Amino acid sequence: MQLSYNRDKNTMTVFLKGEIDHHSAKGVRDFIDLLVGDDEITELILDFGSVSFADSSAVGIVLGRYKLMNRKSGQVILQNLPEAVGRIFLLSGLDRLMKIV
Amino acid sequence: MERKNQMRLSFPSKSVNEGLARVTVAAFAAQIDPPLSELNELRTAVSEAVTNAIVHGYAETAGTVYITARFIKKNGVEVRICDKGCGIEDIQKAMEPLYTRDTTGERSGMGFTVMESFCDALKVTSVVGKGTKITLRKYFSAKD
Repeated sequence: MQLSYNRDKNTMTVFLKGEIDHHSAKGVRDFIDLLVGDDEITELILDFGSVSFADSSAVGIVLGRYKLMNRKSGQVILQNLPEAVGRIFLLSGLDRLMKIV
Repeated sequence: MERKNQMRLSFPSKSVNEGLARVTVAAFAAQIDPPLSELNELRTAVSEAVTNAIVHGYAETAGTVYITARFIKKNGVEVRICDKGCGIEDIQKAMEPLYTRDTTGERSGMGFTVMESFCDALKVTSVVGKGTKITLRKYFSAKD
């Protein structure tokens, strides 16, 4: 799992690349939490365009980040979901909690 | 044409082996040339089952995860994921969507739901203190 990011004012976009599973989850969590630790970040965009595999560990990561941003009155947006990843997210009802573009 | 083949794999309950399990079972199932999206569904279901064994079955201990796979009629594959871990006290509760024993708030509790959605049959047997066996069956569509 490779991670990169781009900050634009109060928006942090994190680009995930590779496989998201239980094994890679901690690294992804720690990376994102470090980036949005700054109170100025009010919008977190997670880009899944280069994710080759994801299981429900990805749902756990997204939910955890959602709770974190929620505490700061911020929001999470999910973008560029590959079809397989989208299916798991819809199955988990994530579309009812946050915007998917 | 009926294909007969089977495989057996075992490995320590380390999270780094989750990818190994996925790739091995997918490579085996690929022998009957399934559609890629369906193969990916099987791969995901296996990932969920293996993760459960590692995270929950062997939560407080370390152990071995055992996987067997074989081809079944018609154009299907049956995968068994077993552990000799703590077992599940209430299987029905465990299989409820969003239910998880995890207290960190980082696990989604969707593992069994994903397995059910992505496979044609799911069977869970477990004995507390002895271990858990998950049997997945998936029938692939014939390619055009």
